[in-house]
Amino acid sequence: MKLASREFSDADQKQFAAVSGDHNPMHLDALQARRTPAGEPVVHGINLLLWTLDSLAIANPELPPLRCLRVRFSKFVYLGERVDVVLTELTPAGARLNISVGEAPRAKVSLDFGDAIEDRPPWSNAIQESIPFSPTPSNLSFEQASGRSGRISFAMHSQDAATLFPAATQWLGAPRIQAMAASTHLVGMVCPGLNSIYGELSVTSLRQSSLQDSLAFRVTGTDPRFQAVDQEICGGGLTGTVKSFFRTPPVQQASMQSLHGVVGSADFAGSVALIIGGSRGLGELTAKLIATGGGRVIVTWQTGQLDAEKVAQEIRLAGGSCETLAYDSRRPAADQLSRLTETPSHAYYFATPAIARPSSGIFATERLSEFLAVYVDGFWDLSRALRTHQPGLSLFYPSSVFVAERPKGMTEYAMAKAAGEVLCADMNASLSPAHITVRRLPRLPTDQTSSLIAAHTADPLETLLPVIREVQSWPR
Amino acid sequence: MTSEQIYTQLTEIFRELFDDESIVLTPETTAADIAEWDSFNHINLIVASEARFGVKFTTAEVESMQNVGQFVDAIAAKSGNRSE
Repeated sequence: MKLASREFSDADQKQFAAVSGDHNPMHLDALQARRTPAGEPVVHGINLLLWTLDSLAIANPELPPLRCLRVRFSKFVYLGERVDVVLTELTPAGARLNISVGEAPRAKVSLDFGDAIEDRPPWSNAIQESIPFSPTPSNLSFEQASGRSGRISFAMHSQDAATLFPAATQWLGAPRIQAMAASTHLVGMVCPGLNSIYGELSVTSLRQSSLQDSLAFRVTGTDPRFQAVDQEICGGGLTGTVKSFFRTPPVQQASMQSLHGVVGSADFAGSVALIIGGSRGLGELTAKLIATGGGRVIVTWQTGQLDAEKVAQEIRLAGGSCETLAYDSRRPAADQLSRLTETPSHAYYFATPAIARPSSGIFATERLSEFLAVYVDGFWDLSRALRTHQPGLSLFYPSSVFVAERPKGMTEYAMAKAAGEVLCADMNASLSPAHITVRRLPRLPTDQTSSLIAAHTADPLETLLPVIREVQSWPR
Repeated sequence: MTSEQIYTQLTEIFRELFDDESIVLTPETTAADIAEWDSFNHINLIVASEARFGVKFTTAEVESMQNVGQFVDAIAAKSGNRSE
């Protein structure tokens, strides 16, 4: 049974960050979130949980006392997504709920009803060190998380709990709502902090607690295989555990210094390469390699202007030539390219929407349209605009091994890349002397491909350099 | 522990984790067959299995487990038994 349905906005994010104290940029800053595995800002998991508890309490005003609660956050929820609270089971013993987008659960909540346990655990009494509030998340390394402990004051006031989650507050009491909100402050700002992902909360109600306005925590275990951090927490009438993960920091591509000697200093001299999506990832590496080989490069950015400027500055400091250009592959190419001061002889098309966003089922037309707009329409429009000035243009279209491997949840992505391949093949058959080089690239280490489990990735330099040499060899 | 015993206990773990009593594991079962078997739940599966069977997998072993059959073989090998 669907209990509630809503979308979360940027304003909702800011409001929850302000009351919970979790200002992690993954939730608030589109520029920084694009360098995380999420790719875009995501809703605080605890905000979803508290909304779920509130929805349950609204629908069932006479709920028994809560004894235990467990929530597992298995997938991100993005701003603007229609998210539902679905009650799958309600008995005198407990309840189960899914937080879903479409048919797919993004988080699961399990509740047991019953009496609270008597006392808070002894370890919590020994935790005295108060962690001062900071609006900036700590930037711990995985190793630094081991052995961390402390006590954080509730950022959320009882009145905030009553205003934002009135039914849940009436059911559970404000301190428990505040304690759950403090747990996201703990994960997002204190430990692990900046590079964190909240995985699971499991808590039991305490009958008595003399420390209602702070949350004690201590790290009880770390698992380097998954970069996982297990913590015990206690405060506000709850005691239990929090599982979180260190997410992969933004992937750093090879520096200009390290590329010295990898290509000859005149290998690409005389060429002008337009790198669509060159502010990071494979586009960044391509720009650096061509510049190292004496080519002039123009790096485009859609949202990452600062990243693009950094790449350009690094190339110039190394003696190369690099300009930057604002470019959105979903908007008409000709208008945007009119600002170019020289005509590109080569173009590399690394434009992509966020790939990480989970699918809501096997297939979604909107998702396919989103990919097609960039991988097909955008590429076609770009090539058409560039060929007007450079008939012998050489282009690179990066396809993916996922077209053949078809990993789970990548249906629309694989379909759009396959459509791009068909377009390129037909263009090559009809548009000589222009030429498009198409390669199905393997999984390479980028912000978009990072995950909780270390996956095998190919070496980007070994993969890209032969491709670049092929693209630069045209026109022949 | 026999292969059958490992399958029985592993099925319990899968059913509890995915909240689905209809799950029937075969050697060929992969993440593609269970809608919620994603990277996060893969970690939960590994951790729950390690606790249940008293074994510990390396990162390379975790990465290489592509189906339930390989999962069972790894558990059997770690616990000093062959799965047959």
